[in-house]
Amino acid sequence: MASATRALLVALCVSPTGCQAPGNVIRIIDAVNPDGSIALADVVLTTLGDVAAVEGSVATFLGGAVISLDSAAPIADRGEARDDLVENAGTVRARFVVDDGVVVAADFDSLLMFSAYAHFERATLHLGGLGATLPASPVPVYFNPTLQNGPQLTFPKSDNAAFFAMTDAFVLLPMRILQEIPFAMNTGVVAHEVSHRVFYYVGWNGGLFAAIAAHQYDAGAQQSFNRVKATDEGVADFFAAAITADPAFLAKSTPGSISDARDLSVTRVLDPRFIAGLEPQQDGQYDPYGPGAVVAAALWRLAQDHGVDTVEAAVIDGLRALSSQLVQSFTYQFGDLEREVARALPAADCAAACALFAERYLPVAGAFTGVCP
Amino acid sequence: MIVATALFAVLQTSAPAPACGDLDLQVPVGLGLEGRADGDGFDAAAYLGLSAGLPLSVCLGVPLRLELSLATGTAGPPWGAGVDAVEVARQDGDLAALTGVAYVFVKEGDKGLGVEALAGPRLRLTRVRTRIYAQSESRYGATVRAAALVGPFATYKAWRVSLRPGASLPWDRRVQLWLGIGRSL
Ligand SMILES: [Zn+2]
Repeated sequence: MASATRALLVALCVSPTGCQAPGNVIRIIDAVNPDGSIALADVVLTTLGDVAAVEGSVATFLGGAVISLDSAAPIADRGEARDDLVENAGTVRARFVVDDGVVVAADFDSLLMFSAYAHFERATLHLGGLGATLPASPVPVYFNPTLQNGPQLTFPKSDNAAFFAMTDAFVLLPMRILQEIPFAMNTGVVAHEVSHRVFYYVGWNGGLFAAIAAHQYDAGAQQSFNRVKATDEGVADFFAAAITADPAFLAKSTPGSISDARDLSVTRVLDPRFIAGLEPQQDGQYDPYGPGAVVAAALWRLAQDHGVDTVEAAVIDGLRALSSQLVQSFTYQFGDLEREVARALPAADCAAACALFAERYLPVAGAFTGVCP
Repeated sequence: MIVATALFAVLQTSAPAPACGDLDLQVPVGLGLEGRADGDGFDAAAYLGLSAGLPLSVCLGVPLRLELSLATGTAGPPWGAGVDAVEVARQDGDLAALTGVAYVFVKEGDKGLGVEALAGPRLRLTRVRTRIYAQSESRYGATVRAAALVGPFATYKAWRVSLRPGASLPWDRRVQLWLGIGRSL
């Protein structure tokens, strides 16, 4: 009760938030322990400007948005069609108390938003520090939006988090089925989504939709795109694990039936059936997570052997090196990114990386020609 | 200091209460709407209070009323809202010292009908309990706002019934509707 008494005394000087204005020390759900377990932690959010509006230089949270997923709607790169696809997005109003200088969320949604902002900030600053350049303006985060699915483009209405490239924005949906740590509170899941945005801006150079428009009728375009999507998923899981130091970050939020297949600590090799870019499938749709798990596990192994920071930087460099191939020819084979990663690694690490890739990517060994012996 | 001053004023005024008017005690129950954090709509809330009121019309000859109230409330289930792994619960405790006009415009024998408008400082002490799996913690915060209530009231012999919509300034994105049943002491 000492805390309550202090709060009472503080309130005796008149101010809407007591005498302590909300600062940037926020109590969030975070993966703070060496064993990766999740707990409450006080963090300093250096980029958060308006606490109640959950708005800062990294992200702006918006509520009540209605997002149209109609594939007939205009689509443009770098969020230029955002206003055509999103309606009603409004300012959020987090509820909080200020206890001994620490902002404490006073309801579940506010705790979700504060935690997610912290994770967005951490991932964005971390990846920016590796040279991943993102637009300077804060990215919109649509919190609990309504998704209007189109005939060809569907997305679950709950239990998901996503980077929507066509709006250049993130979406955080309510958790209705999964009852473990919500995605918005899972540092790794948010880092995974931020990585997708990095892939869009570095790998695609912010020009994915222009590239699709130019190449959608090319032979094999869909298969190439599927392989890129799988690699994008693998890279996203790799950065999530790197930022959390937890190769099983997804297990905090999903049952083993989902997370086990993406545990980065498991040795995985590329299945020859994946090479064509049509398999595996789930519910009649290409499932990028199977091949993606091979990519993630290989990068994670590499990071364990040669240093997480070194491999993270090499992946960003590899994406940048791959960019012109993706945008200009819209072609991609498994191993193309890993070849550029091996090239970007310090010379002393390259041979070991080649050996690892040769083992993990045996069906596409030719992809490493020119870099590996 | 506004709260302390107001409390002092009420306590001082209550000293000559028998000469001024009959102190009444009310048990207000309230329903409210509280703006959601995502800015999209409102959640229902429930409140319960206890208030002591002092009409000053007898001693001052003007239809003034002083009231000191305590109330508690919660939006959503008091044990918390969230998912199995993480829940957040919030309870508010309010202490308000209100003053204003309580004007009786119909008086027939034991029965009276009037309208009142009260305003004053309100101290809100909020307890937030956050649970992650089996671990939970409570944190506290306090705010002071100006509260305002306005609505009709009826009296019958020693009984008093009031219906009061209320809000506070700066607006905290909640509106309340209080039903108060009280009795003069
Ligand atoms: Zn993903």
